[in-house]
Amino acid sequence: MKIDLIWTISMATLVFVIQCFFIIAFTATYLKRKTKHIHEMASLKHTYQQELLKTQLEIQEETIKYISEEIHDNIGQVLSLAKLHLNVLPPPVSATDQNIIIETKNLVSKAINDLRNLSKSLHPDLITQLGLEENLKRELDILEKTGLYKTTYQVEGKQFRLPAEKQVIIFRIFQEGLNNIIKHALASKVELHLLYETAQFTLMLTDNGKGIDKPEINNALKGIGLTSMNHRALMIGGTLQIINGTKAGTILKVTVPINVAVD
Amino acid sequence: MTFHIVNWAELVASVVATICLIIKPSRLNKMFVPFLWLTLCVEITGKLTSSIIEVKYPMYNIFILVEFLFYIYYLSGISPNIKIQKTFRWVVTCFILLFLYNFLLLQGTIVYNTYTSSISALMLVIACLIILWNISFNQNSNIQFYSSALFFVGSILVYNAGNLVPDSFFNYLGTKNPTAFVRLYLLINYNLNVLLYGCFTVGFLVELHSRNANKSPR
Repeated sequence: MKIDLIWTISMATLVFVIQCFFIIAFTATYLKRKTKHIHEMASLKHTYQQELLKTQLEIQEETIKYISEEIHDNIGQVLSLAKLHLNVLPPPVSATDQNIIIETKNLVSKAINDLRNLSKSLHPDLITQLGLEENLKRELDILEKTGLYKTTYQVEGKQFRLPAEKQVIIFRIFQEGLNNIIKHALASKVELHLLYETAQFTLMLTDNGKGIDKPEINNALKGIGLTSMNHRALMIGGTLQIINGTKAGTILKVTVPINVAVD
Repeated sequence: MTFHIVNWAELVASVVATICLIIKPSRLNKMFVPFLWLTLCVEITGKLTSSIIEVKYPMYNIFILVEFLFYIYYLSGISPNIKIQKTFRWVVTCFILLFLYNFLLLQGTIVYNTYTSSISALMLVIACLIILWNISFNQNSNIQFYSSALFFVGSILVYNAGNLVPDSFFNYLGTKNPTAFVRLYLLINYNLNVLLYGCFTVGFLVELHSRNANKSPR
């Protein structure tokens, strides 16, 4: 009888323990499936957002391309025609008229040049044709020519050619950054630093302006400009950082991982 | 004094816990370190004093309470449900009252408090089942498949479920056929202890591994 009871206790304990193992195995399997499902959902969401972002930026680029072509082919042509007409005008009678015509010719020539430059900086195909560095230098030159800014340009590391898509996106981020400096920074000096590394490419745009506080950064991140810059950086798997300079000013840092670097 | 396999398992678990949880442990897991060293101290003190003092049960009886409080504290901590946490607080209060009643009035301090240990095992089994159910089917639960919590909860469940039956029959069989029952009790208890501390050790290693995996760059 007692042996029977001991046998029963042993069996009952064993059954209890086995039941517990089953419960744990069930829980573990369920958690595994749940984790897998969560990962799949997150991956799908990420892919969807990337696709959406890509489409948005493609539409933007197409629009910019259209505007660029319109400036070049339409407005540019009209201005060229106006310059031609000015050239075929009969010789003016007075010296004042002569001066006015020369001044008008100069203004029209300047407008043609400026529009050509604008068209080049907008057109994505021309950006990739010329290369990222040349485009960046050109933008800095334009800025320097205004006489309001002193610019410096620095390249570090072994240079390589980035994929065309990345070049356009980095250039657009740079343009927006430059635009922000002109509009908000009250700076007199702009520095561009490019860093080529084996695993990543970094662009740092520094100014000596008034700087930006942390709450301001948070507010700015909600705005269209920075949101768009951030989206563009994310689209190429990169990151965008806005850092306060050590003394004054702001640093815009774009880091892009290099998966397919075209030598 | 010779170290039994259970004591080795406890020692290994304590050392691994100390090493793994020395840097930035979570609020919950860091309590394992003092608890495991306390368990080892209680066991060693029990062994050392067994030849000198005949009655060592008061220490074990109090340890039942400490063990119960620690496990409930841990289970309550990993539960994402506030209702469960509140219920556990009531359970702890009731258990302390039951423990005091049994310790002071019913079974007393000299004998092993089997009622308390049976109730403790039963409550912990129920608590573990509730927690497992909750972490499985609660969307807010962030416990993953490969996590230390699953090893800890699982081992606490198996240990207490295994101990529940012999603990419940402890008084009856302990008086009827002490030799056979003590042998059976020790066999079950030792195996479950080794499993419990083995799972704890694996849990700490999993914790360390997942922490390192999260720290390392992608």
